[in-house]
Amino acid sequence: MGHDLIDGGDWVLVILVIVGAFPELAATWQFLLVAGHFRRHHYDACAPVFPRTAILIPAWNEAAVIGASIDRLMALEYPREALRIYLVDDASTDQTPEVAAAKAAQYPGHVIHLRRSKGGQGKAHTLNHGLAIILEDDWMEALLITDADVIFTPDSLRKMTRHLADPQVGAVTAYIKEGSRPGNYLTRFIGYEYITAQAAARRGQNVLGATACLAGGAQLHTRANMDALGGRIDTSSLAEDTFTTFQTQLLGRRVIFEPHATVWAEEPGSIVSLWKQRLRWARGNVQVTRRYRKLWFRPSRGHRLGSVSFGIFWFCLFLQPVVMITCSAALLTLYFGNFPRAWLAFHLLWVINAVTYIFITGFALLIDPKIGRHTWRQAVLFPGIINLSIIIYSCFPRLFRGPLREFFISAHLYQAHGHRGWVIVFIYAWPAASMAVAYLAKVAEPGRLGRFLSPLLVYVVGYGSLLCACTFASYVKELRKAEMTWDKTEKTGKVVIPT
Amino acid sequence: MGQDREDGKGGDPDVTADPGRPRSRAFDREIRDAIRYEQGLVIKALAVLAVVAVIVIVRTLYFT
Repeated sequence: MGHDLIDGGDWVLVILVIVGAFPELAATWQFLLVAGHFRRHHYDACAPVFPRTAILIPAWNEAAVIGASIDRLMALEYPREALRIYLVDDASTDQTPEVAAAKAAQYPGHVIHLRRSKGGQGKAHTLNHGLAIILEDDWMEALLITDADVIFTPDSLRKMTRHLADPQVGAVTAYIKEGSRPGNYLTRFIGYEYITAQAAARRGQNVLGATACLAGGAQLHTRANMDALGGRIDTSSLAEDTFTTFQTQLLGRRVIFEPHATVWAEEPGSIVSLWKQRLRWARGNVQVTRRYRKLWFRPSRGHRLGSVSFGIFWFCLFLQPVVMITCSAALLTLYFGNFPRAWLAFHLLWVINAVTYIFITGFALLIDPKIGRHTWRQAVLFPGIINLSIIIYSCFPRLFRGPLREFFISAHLYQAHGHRGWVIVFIYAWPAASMAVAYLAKVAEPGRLGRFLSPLLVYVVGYGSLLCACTFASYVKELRKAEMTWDKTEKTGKVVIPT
Repeated sequence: MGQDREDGKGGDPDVTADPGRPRSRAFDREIRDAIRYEQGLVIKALAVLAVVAVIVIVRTLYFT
């Protein structure tokens, strides 16, 4: 009886370890949905429509980038008489007002400079300032919300507006690519991440009929949708884009991702800057999860946000740090109680991880081959050197057993008489520990050695662990009810559209 | 046009509604290209799945 209980407890622990593979399995499911996009797309309902479009750009100290962005927007393959750019200057202290004034003079009637005398309340407030003015008259038929650094390719807007021919569509978003050139290791990680998080995940969400988030840098709304949303953007959270996306769908309108409308943006080139951005996003996701707590896993006729698949996608990302910590804790508990079962669970976990990693990485690089060529090293090293070593070991253990065992024994890391070596404890604890090491990469970056140490640590722990550490930090911030500060990402104008 | 709306005196540009354009060959071609790209992704997914299957088979046969 006692043995049965212990045995049952062990199997619970084994299951908890296997749950560690759920985020990867969910990502794989999302990638498999991509293959369904050729059937479940929205192109049949498209038509060449060119609604009068107000382009709303919030700007705070964007002098380095705003001029080029406006020039690109005015060069769009779109009827110029149907374009107006509303630049909402959030009390900038740099040359933004002068640049904006120069562009307003260069494109009279098409560039409208709005200035807030008091700024710093956040992007949503800045957008609402512009929205109130745009909605005062009935000129605007569609609203494009973008960021000051975002560069639109010439055909991007018309590829987005073609979906508005369908009156059921409330909003359309584009594919944002990381455009910093030459960029660095981090921007390349982000470039690859955007293939997975946008080109792949959002195609999958198109197939599912539920979109998690309209990209903040390229979201097109119909006027009807903006009116239905109350003519304003939610200011109560740090994830105003996600709230807008959810509300649009809850009001019965469709949100479409147009993968062939490409825009380029400058993303953070340092961990500290990335951390600020992602912490804001992750805290926003905590707020969204809480706000829509009655929506999850409750299918509805009006929208697909409550579908089981969408809930799994959402929570596998949202709870990934919890999953990683639980996985490590279960593995270590098994290790000290029932080593053979720990080994079995570990092996199962990493074989699943290996298979999903190969599929996701290979497919992602093929979904966007151009970005793939630029970021393939970061794609391969996305899980980090240690996790990658474990993946290779899980797939081909016999390749490593002899030499590795000899190395560990010679380094006194492995006890020849048994399995209980520090190496195994380290590997079992690694899913959780990797987040702590990723945090160290952020802490070390501003220091003297940070320039070398931080990239090295990111390559060792993996970019995924860095994002998980950020998500974990967001839990802590939200639990502490920390102040909602809008830490703007600095833009320097490094975006170059590849030819 | 600031918060005080002072610089909003420039007047409204004359913009008329564009009722939309008829479907052109170029538009249809663009839609066809987009769908073809999406169909290509199925082939790519299958190719990657085939690679994964080969790795699993090789591992099962020779490395267990």
